[in-house]
Amino acid sequence: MVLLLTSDNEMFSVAEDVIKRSAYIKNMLEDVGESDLPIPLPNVESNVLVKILEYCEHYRGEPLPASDVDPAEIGDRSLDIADWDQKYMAVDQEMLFEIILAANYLDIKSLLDVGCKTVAKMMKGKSSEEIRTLFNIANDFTPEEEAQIRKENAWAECR
Amino acid sequence: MLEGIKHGFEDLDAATYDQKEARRIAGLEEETRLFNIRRNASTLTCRLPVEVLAKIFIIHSNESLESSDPDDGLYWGDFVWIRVTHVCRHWREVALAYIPLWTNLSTGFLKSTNITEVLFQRSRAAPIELNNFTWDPEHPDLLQRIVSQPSRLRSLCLESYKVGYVNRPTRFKFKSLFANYTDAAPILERLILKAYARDFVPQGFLSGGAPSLNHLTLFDTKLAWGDLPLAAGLTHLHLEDGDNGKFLQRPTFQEFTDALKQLPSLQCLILMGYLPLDTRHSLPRSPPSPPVHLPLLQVLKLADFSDKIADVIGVIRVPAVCAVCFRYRGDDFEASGNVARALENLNIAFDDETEVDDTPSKHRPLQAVPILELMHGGICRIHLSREPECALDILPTNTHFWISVEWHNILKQHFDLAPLVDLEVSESNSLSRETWKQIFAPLPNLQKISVEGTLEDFLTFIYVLQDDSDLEAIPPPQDDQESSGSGGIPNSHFTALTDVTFCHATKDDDDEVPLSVIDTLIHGLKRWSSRSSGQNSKISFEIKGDAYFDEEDIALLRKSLLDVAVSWDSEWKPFEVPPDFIAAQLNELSDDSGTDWTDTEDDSD
Repeated sequence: MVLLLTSDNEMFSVAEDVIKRSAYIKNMLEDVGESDLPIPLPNVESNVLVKILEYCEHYRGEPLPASDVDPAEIGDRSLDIADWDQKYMAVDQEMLFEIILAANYLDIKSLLDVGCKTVAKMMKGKSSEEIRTLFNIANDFTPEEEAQIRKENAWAECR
Repeated sequence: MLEGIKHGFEDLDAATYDQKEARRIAGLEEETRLFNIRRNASTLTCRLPVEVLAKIFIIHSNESLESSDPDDGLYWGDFVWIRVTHVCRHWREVALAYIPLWTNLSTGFLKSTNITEVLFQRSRAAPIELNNFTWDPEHPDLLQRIVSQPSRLRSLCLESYKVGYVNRPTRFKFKSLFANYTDAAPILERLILKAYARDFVPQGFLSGGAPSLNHLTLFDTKLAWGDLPLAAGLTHLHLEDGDNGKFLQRPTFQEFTDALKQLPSLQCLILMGYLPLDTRHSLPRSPPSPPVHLPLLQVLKLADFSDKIADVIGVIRVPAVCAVCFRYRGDDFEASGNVARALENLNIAFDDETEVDDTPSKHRPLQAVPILELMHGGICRIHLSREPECALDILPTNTHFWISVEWHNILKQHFDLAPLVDLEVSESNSLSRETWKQIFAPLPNLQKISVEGTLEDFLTFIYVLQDDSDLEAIPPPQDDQESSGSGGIPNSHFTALTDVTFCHATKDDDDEVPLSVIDTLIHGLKRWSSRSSGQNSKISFEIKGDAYFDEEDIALLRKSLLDVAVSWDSEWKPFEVPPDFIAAQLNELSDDSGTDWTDTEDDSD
């Protein structure tokens, strides 16, 4: 078992083969060897870690991604997300981004990928204004930048 | 209130007042903008590390850039993804700094290439992909500027001058675009060029080399065999010449085989009009050269004159999983015996000890036996497959052509059809009664037949199904006696058949099916069912489509064919709401109202 200490000081005892989906923990275990000391996770809160462990538990025993190549960069053009992953990602925006941050920190590539796809899917077919509303972002462009953006929009959609 | 606003401006003239107000508004706007920048910094997306946000952007952009089939290679996506750069300053900065977002310059259906110009600039010095291009008078030299950097090209897919979709000509020609194009393209992985209107790719094209090339598709570029930028790592080689290689400098047989020997990674080889100039018959008698092994080949398509195909197939060795297609040009193929020779050679090509997964092909199980397509001048295609089970699919593309019994005899002679269990016939009017009788009826393991066509065509099959006279008795092989259920079947045709499916072709008129036709159908199926009565499994007859039959016809068929399971996919059925759907809806209601509509013990626990 591996002990994990979250940022809000909660201790989790997790089976090694479950948490090894995190390349960060896996490397740490390989470097440090067996230890009774907990691994501190200062960037992960307990409620997020619970969610992360749910994911790792679900994929327990499945092979880890072999390649370091980012599927998006090699032209994986699909926004397909497995059914279970979709249900898993059906959380509020705050938690969704916390999961992405934790997946990035813990280096769980497949989870990071699903998280990014989920966000990309949320943006699909939306205008920039709609994306702003979706993620509560304000328009902070200068008038000159706005003019350039209007041109780009016209080019991108000129058929 | 207005008094308050005006305070301090009483002594100013109108122009100065306006200026001052404008400055004040601009100041407020700038303040608001700065406030918004600070506010945005705390939003969820802006808290993401830059590389994660960039990853989201590239997933978003990749999804909107769609490609058609690999041979086409052209991208037809749109650029709506560029909206991510219009959301806020932070997003724009991240996107502009992430060069991989800007390296696919393909413009798809866009009328203007302004966007390509923007992409080209933002890609800086990174490797680029250009998988489609629409010529635009606003940027006449843009394409030339892009291709003039062969060292940056990773993928290039272009169609030359052609009145394309929505009547927009792509006003460039390869002969000028690639004049003196002799530099090396060190990172070029994919090259697809399609020439039109007597255009061609000049000699010396990429003579500097393209060592990373793994996909090469050339349509009508007239590039001579010796000038092809062949690289050892090629996995996909597709060369097509619309003039049957008439104006093409074809290779000699020796040049051809020498080149193939240098391409051991080939997975797909499609040569149309590019087969060697000389045939083996024309060569002086010399000891046969060792065969060319293509151990990774999965697709082999050859289109040319029958003698050339027969020769080439005789010197290559392919793994058993390779799909093979011959398309014959010219009209001498049937008489010359070249088809038979090609099939004979094909057996040798497959029977070689080419190893796949360390298992010699001849020891591989049946499911690894290849697909064979025989093309007859583009008119008919016979598609034989034993994956996962032996199946034969006949699909002529011209409905007026009848596949001759001789053709099937050639097939029979060179391929053992005995293991065939599943036969799908599309455009069934290509099969005569004789073909049904002589080729398929005697097959001992044939369990399923699916016929797609008109009712008249289907009846041709039904006549054969009911009539077992004139048939040559072929006993099933010893090994198959049990599986074919031969015990109780006295006749020798369609002995193992248990499933028949009829898929309607579209019907031009709305006439009802005459009762006599239904009678014929019933009679035929009855004869079949009485002959099959010794079989363990109940026989079934399935109708797909509603062009011919209605509820009454199906009822009559069912009433008359008690031993046959008749099914019809167009049958009207009352709509039943799935129980899970109801449960899900109730749960949603309970979530909304706070009331639990479901009554489950788990919930109460």
